[in-house]
Amino acid sequence: MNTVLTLMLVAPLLSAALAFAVRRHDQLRDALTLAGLGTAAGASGVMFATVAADGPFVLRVGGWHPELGIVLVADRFAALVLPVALAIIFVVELFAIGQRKTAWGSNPELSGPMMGVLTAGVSLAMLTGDLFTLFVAFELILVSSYVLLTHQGQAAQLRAGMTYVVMNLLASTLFLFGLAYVYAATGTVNLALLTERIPELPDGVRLGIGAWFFVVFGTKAAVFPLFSWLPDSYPTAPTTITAVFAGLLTKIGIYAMIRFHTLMGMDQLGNTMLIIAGVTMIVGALGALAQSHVKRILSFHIISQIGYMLMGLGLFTAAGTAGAILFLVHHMPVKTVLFLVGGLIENDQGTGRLDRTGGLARRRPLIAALFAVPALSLAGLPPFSGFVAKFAVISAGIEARATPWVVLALVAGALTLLSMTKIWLGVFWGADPDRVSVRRPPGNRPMMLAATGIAVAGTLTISALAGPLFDLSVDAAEDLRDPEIYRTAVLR
Amino acid sequence: MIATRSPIVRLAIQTATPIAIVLGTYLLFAGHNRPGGGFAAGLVFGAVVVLRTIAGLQRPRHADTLIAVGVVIAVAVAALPVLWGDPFLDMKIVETTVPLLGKIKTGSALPFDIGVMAIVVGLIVALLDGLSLPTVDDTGTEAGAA
Amino acid sequence: MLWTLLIAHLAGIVVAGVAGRRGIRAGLAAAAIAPAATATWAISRLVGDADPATAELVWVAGLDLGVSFRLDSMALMMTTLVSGIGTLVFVYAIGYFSAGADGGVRFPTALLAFSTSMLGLVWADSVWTLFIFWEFTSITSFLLVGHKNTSADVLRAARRALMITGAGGLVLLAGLLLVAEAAGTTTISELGPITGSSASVAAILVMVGAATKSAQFPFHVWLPGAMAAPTPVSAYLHSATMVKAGVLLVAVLSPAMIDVDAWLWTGLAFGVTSMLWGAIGALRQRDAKLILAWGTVSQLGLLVTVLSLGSGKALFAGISLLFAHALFKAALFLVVGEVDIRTGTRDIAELGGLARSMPIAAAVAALAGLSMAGVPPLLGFMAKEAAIEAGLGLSGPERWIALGAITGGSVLTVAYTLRFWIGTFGPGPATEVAPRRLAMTAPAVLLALAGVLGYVFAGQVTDIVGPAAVEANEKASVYELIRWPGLKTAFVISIGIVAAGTALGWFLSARPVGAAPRTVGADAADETIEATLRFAPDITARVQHGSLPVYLATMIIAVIAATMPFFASAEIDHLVLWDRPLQAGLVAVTIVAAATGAVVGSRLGATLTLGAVGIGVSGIFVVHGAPDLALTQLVVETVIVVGFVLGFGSLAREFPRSSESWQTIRLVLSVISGIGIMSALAFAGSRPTGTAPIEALTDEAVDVGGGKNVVNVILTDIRALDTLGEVVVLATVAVGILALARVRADEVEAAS
Repeated sequence: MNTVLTLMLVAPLLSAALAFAVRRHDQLRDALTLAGLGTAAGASGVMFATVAADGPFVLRVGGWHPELGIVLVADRFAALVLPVALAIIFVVELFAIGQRKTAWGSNPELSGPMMGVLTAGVSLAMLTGDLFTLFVAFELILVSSYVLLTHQGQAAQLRAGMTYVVMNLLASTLFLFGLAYVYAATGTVNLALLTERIPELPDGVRLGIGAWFFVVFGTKAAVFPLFSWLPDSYPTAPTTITAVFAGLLTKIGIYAMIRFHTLMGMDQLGNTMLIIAGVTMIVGALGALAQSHVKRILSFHIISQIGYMLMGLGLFTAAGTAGAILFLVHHMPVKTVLFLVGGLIENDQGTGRLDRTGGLARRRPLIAALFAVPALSLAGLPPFSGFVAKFAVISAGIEARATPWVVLALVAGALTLLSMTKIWLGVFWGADPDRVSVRRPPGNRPMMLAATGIAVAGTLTISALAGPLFDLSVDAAEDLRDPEIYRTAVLR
Repeated sequence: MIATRSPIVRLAIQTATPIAIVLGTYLLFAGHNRPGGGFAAGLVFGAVVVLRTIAGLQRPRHADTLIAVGVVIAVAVAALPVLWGDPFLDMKIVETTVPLLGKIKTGSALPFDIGVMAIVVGLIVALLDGLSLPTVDDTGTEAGAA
Repeated sequence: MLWTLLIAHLAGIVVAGVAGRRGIRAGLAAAAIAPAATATWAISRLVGDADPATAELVWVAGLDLGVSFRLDSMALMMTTLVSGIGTLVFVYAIGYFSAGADGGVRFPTALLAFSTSMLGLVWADSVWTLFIFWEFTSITSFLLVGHKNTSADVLRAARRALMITGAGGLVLLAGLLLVAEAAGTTTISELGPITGSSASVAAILVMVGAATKSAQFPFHVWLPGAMAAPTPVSAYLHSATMVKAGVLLVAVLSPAMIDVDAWLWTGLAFGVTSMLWGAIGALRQRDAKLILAWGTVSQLGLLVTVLSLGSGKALFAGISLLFAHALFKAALFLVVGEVDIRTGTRDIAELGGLARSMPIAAAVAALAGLSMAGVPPLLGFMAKEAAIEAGLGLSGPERWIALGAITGGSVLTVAYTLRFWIGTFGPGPATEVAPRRLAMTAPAVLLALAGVLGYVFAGQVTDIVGPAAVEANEKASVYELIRWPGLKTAFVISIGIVAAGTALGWFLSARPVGAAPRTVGADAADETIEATLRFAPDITARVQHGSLPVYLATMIIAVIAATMPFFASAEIDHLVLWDRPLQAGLVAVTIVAAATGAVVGSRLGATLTLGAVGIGVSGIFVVHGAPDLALTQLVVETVIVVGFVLGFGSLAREFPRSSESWQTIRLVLSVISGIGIMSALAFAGSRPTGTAPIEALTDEAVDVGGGKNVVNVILTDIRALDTLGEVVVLATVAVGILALARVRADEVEAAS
């Protein structure tokens, strides 16, 4: 397991450095990138199996005691979510390699290596048992995503990148302040030790720390009213990059929130979180409805869906936390796939604007089918994972008698359905568009369709395995809700 | 691009270069016991590069290589202990006696620091590369008030 | 066996898809196989007497989600209808579509997918299984309504149908969650009466969900629009089966709701208004298909009214009506489709005289219409008698409401049926028609004859509908369908209904056909959707306005809010002013530099003051005994200042001016947040629950880390992972700069 955890960090970084060194040799670079991402994904799979069999595994980095050094903790939460995340990156990179030969791909010389850095950041963020290292992981993710966003240097990307990087850097700065508060109050940044020391703090300090990190992680997770960086920046990037962002970035924020706020027993923030969750769901869904471009619609949906996860977390019940975790596991691949399909549409039609597309279901039934599955899932319709996830959160809400939030969740569900219908009617049905003044689209390569197909198959697998996944989410939630488990694993 | 043509400044910078390099090297090796370390050393080297750029003198140009090599070194140092069963990032200490210098206590922290240094220098070189280009037009948008 | 049938259907979808590539008729023929087999099997079970077949597949055990089937009598009856009518509709569609019609793959697969979903719905023995298949039917219905999706009207109709049924599905979801919680089970056959505070809410929510699906006023507006679908779809989904899902739900949940008043009254409210409003709507239409569609709304209202009464007699009557309605309404739609195909119009103002040119169709329409009107000797008559009997058997205000509504609705039903028949087949010039297609005629004839046979074999029909009703209410077992009741109250009422209806129908038929009524309800529904779509950008523009400074101000406000809790634990006893006075001096310098930086107008000035802040901070590091940090900080500040200065080449010297009010806002926010952040830090350490392991760090650094410089050992050993991460961050930044530099270089090259 020592090796396995190491590989998840080292393999993508090493391959990124090497791929960057040989970035002008297409095949070598892509092979290195895939090898690095594939190794990390494979290692995460091994981690999942091992943790499922033997329970949480803790790696003391450099052999140092948690009191001093850093620990990596593969608990059941990390072991469930991380493999999904790493698998997503791998599949998207396949798509990217398929797309790179078309004019509309990202610049392959940099996107591959940057994906490696991003992967390492994601692995680190999910595995670390140390609040400061979490900050480092956020930095890794932030800079690599910023480079991915802007590396083509188009004016729109730079403009959007400015909002993105400034807001996120401010969040990083706030994170540092938060670390100062935590360290001043407890003398440690180790999560396991913090589970002992934070609950004993005076109420004001404890809640202040909770609220502070809610702002920090909330900005990363794009909750209302801190989400503004997201919808402006995502649609400007090339498909593959947006797909990865959509699948992972905000989810790291919500992941950190689920981990931190549950482990630290911040139940008293529950109502605040629920209010924010409700507004986030609705504003995100309305934002999606307001758009008339596939990728922009999808971008706003990320926000809306974050609201659901936050609702699950904010209930601070076992069922709610489990629901939030399942939602996370469902949402990451589904969102990614939708953006990939968005890319397929753009590559085929030359644009993702709803008023300039139409009738695609007749001409490209395959794309229509690839869209329909994740779209129905996103809208929360059975038999897809989105239904189970939404069901889990809503039934947890009913159980906790959180009626207003249940109502908001249902309204947001209806709005989501409407916006998916909007895409369907705009892109797949209706009359064929007049083919005027559209940039000549490069078309889709088999590898792009194959990668999307794999991803859709992945989401279907998640749907089919929703039962075991829910059980795993319940287990993961248990680990988080009983800090004793976490503490024992790290400190023994 | 600001570049000075003053011969005195150029001479001064030329003279300072070897001194700074010695200083940087010292900081790199002294880091474990005295103030210094890879980051500080890299910054000193970087400062040399900046000054030489201002003076219009020759400077390193291969930021990409420095970066790649730096990351590979640092990551390799981090990962190697795993190969013989030690924890990730376990740092080894080696004590050897070297002629002239006597007993030297060093360890895997040193190559790690070298990696750090290479990256810092690489960053500064990249920065200068970025800044030394002529501009086409001003696409930078002002984050003006609402 | 249930699995076999389900898998046969799924396989059928694939086969139909493959066959459909050769043309729509081949696809339809292939798709008909599975329903035909299912119908045969179901009918064979109807005559036999077997235990309910069950099947179960756990999906998400932790949430009780999964497929749980139980083929009880109700399910068996519904299966017979779904697959039997389904088979006929597939056959009919072969005649309806021309050989070269568009959508050879789409249509048969979607229709069979619907058929499959509907079977799952009627077999469901778990509320969640029911819900899952319920949602499937909404989706497949959407796909089928949008079959001809190039026209904007069709798209609107499909969207309307999906949104109303989809939103209703969400309401139902909430309702079923409450039902499951109150009843303590999700198994339908084990549901007992629920009570308690949430029972009424549950009842209303479930009833609303059912009303959206079964097109009850005011949610009925999607149904006429759904007539944009090809007629086989209208006959199958939107009259015979899918719209019955809500009615079925009312029936199967009635054991749970028997003690809930809200159930009865919500059901009556929906049912009665729909029955009357639907019938009035039917009387105003001039499109034959729309007359039938509005008639369906009315009939569904009747079903909801009767079933929500909940008594044994009512359940028996309701199920009988449901059975009869499926048969005669499907037949009527099939006839309209035939008329449409053979004459090219469905407008009763243009039609007429078809009794001579299309005698078989006219006869079918007459038989089915009479059954709908409740005239003996037809199945519809017996069912309606039972409904009136059920009304008579009540007491309290609901008796009069139910009886009045049934009577009034039935009079109107007779009237619009007559108007429909006269308008289409009645007196008029003989219209030229296209040749008959056997595939279209035969299914309609069979369905119409079923109404006659149902009357003849009333006992056998009772054996079908009776046990089905018993599933919902055990007291239903004593009732039976009666061919000739004699002069009892109910029969007298029936006679009155037919007489009054006929008179009204004659009267209206004699008048010239007016213009088609405006689609007020549907327009309102569309307008609601459009209003949402318009409202959304307004809200969005407000929150996503694109101004970075305002975004940042928002974040700062959030920060200020987050510092508030700290003040609850405000304690400053543990604070000392300074360790050494020098600290105070450095802090003062730093603050002055920072304040200057905030007001200075030039970029260079701001950069230099920021540098001064950095130097002040590094001074504090020195005082605290951290020369490493101080050194690093100094060099970093230097490089940054130089970097800024180098980069200023292309920017204006001064910052752009901002308005005074905005400056005030910024000033206020920064002062408050600054005070908040600083105070929070001061209060955070008031009662520490732990201290930094400084001694352990210094000892271990030498012993294990092998270095006297603790900072460096922390960086390169104890917390080397952080360092590794941060240097990769630096490397990444460098890569980003190189990338942008290269883009710029390319641009320059391209420009020159």
